[in-house]
Amino acid sequence: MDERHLQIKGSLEAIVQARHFVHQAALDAGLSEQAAHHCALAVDEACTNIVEHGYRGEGTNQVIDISCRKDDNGFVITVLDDSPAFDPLAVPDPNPAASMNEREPGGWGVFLIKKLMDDVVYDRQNSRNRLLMMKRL
Amino acid sequence: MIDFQISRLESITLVELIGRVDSSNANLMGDALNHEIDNGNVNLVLDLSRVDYMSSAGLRELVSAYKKVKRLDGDVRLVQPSPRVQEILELAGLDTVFQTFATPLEAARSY
Repeated sequence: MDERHLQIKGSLEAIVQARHFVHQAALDAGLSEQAAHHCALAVDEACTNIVEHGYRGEGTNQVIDISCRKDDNGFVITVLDDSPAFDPLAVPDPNPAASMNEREPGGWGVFLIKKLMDDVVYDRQNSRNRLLMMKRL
Repeated sequence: MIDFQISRLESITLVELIGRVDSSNANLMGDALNHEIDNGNVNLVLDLSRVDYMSSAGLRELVSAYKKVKRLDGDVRLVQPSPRVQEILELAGLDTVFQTFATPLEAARSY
């Protein structure tokens, strides 16, 4: 499978495009329907965090770049954005065993990405945030 | 795309959700639940059997509604989460928090 690219606006309404793009690319790379769903959900969560926290809901003039490729290890999704440097993987995981009194309603997006994908890496590339999410084939 | 059907079933409020719940529309689901709660309908049943996609934005609204009705001696009970929804409920440890039933009537009669 050749590497594929998609650029979306930094808005919540645009994320569905990323979801469909990744789902189809994952299927084309040979992943199962369930694994493709995991990839789509992971990119949804990554883009939602960028729009809500990185672009603070004002990213309609900004973009998110998504690419998908297949390599020897698996199916790799790369998400690039232009918000200030922020490592989502440095945020402590919420505790699924915590009582409801101790829980905040939100904060599960990155946790789900980590659980649904086999490897997740954050770094900075050309002054952009880059999140790589890999699902083994 | 998400759609709602809200009705009374026995003594509870049944909210049937249809479609996909994500960050672009989860607030609509939250608004609908809050509207019911604010009108005193704190015993809620959510039929999730026709929700084929839910992201953490949906979980956030479920937990918010749960915390709100619990303070008012109510509850949120679920009907048939689809396998995809059940998976994220389990990952977030919510499958043991929300009582789940096979049919809306069973859920209604559990109150």
